[in-house]
Amino acid sequence: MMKKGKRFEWGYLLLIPGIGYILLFIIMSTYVMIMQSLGYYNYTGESGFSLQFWGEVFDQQFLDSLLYSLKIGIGSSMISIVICYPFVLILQKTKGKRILLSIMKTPMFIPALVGSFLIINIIDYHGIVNELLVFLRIIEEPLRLRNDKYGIGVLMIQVWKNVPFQMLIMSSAIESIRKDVVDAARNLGANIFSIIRHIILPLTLPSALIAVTLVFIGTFNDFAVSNTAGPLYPNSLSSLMLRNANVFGEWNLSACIGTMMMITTILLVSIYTLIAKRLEKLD
Amino acid sequence: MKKQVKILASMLLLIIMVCVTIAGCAQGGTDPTGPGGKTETPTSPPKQTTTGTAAATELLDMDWAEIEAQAKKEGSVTYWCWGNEDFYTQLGQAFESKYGIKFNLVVSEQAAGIQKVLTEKDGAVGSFDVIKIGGQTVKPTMDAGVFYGPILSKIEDGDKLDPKLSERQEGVETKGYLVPSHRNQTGLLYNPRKLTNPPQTWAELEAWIDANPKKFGFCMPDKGGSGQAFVLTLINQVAGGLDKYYGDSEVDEAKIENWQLVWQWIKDRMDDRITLTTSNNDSISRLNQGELDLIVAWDDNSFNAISKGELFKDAVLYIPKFGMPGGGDTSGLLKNAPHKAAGLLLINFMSSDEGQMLFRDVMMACPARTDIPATATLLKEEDKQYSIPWIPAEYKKQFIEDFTKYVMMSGN
Repeated sequence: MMKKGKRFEWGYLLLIPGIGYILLFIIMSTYVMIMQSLGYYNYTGESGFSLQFWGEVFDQQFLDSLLYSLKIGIGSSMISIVICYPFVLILQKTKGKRILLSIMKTPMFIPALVGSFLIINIIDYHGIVNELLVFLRIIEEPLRLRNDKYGIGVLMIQVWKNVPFQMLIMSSAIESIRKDVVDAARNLGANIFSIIRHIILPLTLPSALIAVTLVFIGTFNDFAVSNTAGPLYPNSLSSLMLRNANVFGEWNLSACIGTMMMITTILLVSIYTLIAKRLEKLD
Repeated sequence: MKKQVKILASMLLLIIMVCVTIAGCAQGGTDPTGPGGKTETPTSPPKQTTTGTAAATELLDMDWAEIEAQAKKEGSVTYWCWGNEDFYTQLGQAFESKYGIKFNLVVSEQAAGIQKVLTEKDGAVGSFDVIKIGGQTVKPTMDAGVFYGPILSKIEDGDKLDPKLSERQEGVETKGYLVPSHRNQTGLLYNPRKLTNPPQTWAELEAWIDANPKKFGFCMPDKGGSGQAFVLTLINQVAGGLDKYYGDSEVDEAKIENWQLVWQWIKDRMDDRITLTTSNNDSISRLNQGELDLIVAWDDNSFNAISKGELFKDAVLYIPKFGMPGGGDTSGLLKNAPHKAAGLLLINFMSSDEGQMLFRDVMMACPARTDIPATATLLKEEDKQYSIPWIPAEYKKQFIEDFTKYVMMSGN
């Protein structure tokens, strides 16, 4: 029960640096972006409430970019987790696990743009892949593998970059499964596949969801990789946003795209939260 | 507990209100665009004015000795540009040693710098004095009325500057507000070991492209100026010339109806005969790798690529007889410059013999002055007669949009 007339807690003021930071750099910029999408904060010309930009933004180009970004976001997060699970399971039983994990974490410390150029160098006209294929006389002239129109290069780079990140999450999750639970299952006659299906997968699913969601957010909103290795068309949403602002000076349209990116991300995180809650209830 | 939550929520609300108020104020005292507030929207974009303040008017009435004395009183000048940091640092040192006025250099992404200038345009005092202007930034800055002037007639060697660039940049009439600093030109760059007789006429180029599939490349027009140059050349060749566009400030729909011929020309060749690249430098890189044999490129980019060892030394650039566009970059004095006299003096210095020599010998660019011969160029003097000016920026914007719409989108 609360005491009547409790004094103001001055300690709350200590929260100001943290809350202030969030307000200034996240909420304020989000606020300006949303207002700009509604016609305010124009750098040139008239400013004032308008839904015109929202009417213009949903054209074929935006939809193509949205689908492309979703494809890269969902594709890279799902492929990464599919690769990550068996890797982590195998690593649990491998000698020198820590050294191997450290080596495999390397892509995490390489910036996305640098990683992108590294992969481009491999698949470039005179990259290792083409040189090898020519050397083996499989092809006569190098293939043009860069900026493929399906975004396969981007998916490759994103998977390369994100598997180690997901491995970090998943290896902790798998390590936290009590050994006696697995042993008890073995005693009752469960084989390795049953253990994975009935024990490891259900117990690590919440962590897998987090891993997939975090990678999705990063890759869906990616700019660097798509801009260097992505298809000539469609652009990722971030690239489209930059293009509209820089090339055409359409800041309001860019703000609409930014808002849509934010809404999509929030929607996905909400879905994740709902699923996580359901899983908790099931437990 | 509930009370604690209430206090926390109140504090949050208070901080939000303070932040919103600060943001509102940051929009500028005279800016009518505050959300939620009364919107006094102007009926047209602000116009350039020569009479911002009494002091500003006086500046153009002063002689150069008086401007120099005033500039020395101001004590410093701030120049903003994108790229070429080493060069502008050296230019600043030369300016400092000549006048004893401190030179501050701000280098950033082009879009970020221009955004800052536009955001500050209604403030009494901005962050920069002089800014570099090029490419797509001419029209938004001219439309927003950010410049002080016209100053071109005041510049001592103004009459020796390239007359075309002095009048029009990227198809936009600059009305004396922008002063040319250096010129640039596009052309066709090729590997002479693979190409001995480069195409000179449009028919020859088409024939060469047909005979050498995927060996001709240009960058996407939204990714680099060399790509825009090629689309402009296409418009010139297959859509009835460029003369009809000069002088227009808006896109005339009737004049762009036959651009479909241009898009069809590209679509017919895109899959199996031409290669699209992702930037000006990507084109050069692919030429260097041997993926391409003939590309569209900028003169200064190509010269610098050879100087840095990024491109083989015997690469040849030329302007074909059917013509390719050229222009240049300029500098403008901002109307809210905190050091106007020093800014004007800096622009004057950039146009002087000393400044132009620096552009030529250090930046490796073609000087804006026609009386100073260019040395850092791959082009032959006789090629320059085939240079054609850019069409107005609105058409350029239109063909960049249309390229995506009619070529890239329909190709998928």
